[in-house]
Amino acid sequence: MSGFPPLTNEERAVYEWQIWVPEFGEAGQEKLKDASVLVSRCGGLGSVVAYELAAAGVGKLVIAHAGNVKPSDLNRQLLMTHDWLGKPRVESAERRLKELNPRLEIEAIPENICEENAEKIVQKVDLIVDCAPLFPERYAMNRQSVLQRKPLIECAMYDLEAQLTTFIPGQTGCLACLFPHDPPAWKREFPVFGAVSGTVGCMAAMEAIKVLSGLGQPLANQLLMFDLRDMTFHRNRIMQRTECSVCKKLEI
Amino acid sequence: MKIVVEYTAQVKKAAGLSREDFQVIEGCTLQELVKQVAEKHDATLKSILFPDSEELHPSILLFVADQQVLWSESLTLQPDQVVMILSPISGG
Repeated sequence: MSGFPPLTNEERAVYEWQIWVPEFGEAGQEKLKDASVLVSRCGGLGSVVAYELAAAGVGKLVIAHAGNVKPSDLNRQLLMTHDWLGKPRVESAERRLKELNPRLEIEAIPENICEENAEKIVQKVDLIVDCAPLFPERYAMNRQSVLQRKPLIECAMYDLEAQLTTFIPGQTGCLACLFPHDPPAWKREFPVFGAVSGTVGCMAAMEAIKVLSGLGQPLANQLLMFDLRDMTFHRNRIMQRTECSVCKKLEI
Repeated sequence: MKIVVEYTAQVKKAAGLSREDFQVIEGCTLQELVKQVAEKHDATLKSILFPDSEELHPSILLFVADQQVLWSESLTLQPDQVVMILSPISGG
């Protein structure tokens, strides 16, 4: 007995091919079924993260994203559809995820993460995948990741470039160690192809699957950077700052 | 001696290229190299790296031979090392 909820025959049939993955197996699938993940937001990155986690059989997704579907979302936000233009993004996302996996439990929150709502929303999940386009949202999730000791997958893109790392409280630094200050050069609107946000979204989903199931080695204390313009990939060591204003002050 | 400098994201955009070689004197420190990089390029790059003072903006990360190095550390560079100057991104 693994202590996790057993798979149904339908789940064994759906996840058969990934259960074949060495060191994952049925025990790994049961861990995913028992897990809950926050994906914020569900844009170019978060749409793909949520879709892959729904496909992989994560038991519960909490998705947070304010606003209605706009035409300019549709080049990359794969959970948004043309027929849902002008309607809430989270409704479109929930509908698409349910089409893929009707067993999935979804809590769709029509808000972006902020300092005021982050604590309550993060309490609902085991792990956070940060797909926010603005650093204040990222810092709010980071703070709760540290306070509630929940892993945080940090993924981001710009143009044809992307960055990815995994923070695990107690084992790594945090986002404020990596970027102690809100970068003044970052702007809300940025150049993006859906294939770039989708690439790093798939990688972030795999990081979440690894952390939740214990498969492989997550990108702890390392920052993966790549540029699809010339297909260069770097994996660099990153540090925990001894004077970090978040993890060194808040960690219990 | 030669040092290879690589750029990412907005720093790359401001520099106008993804990597270039710098000739520096023996014993050159990381700080001296980054200041040399800022002086070589136009004002846009300098405004990202050093917006307020002679101190590198804290959101800019430095890596030497794939290891993060803080601006405050006094690191002497070795011949043919690769230095990466990274600006944070948040596209979602």
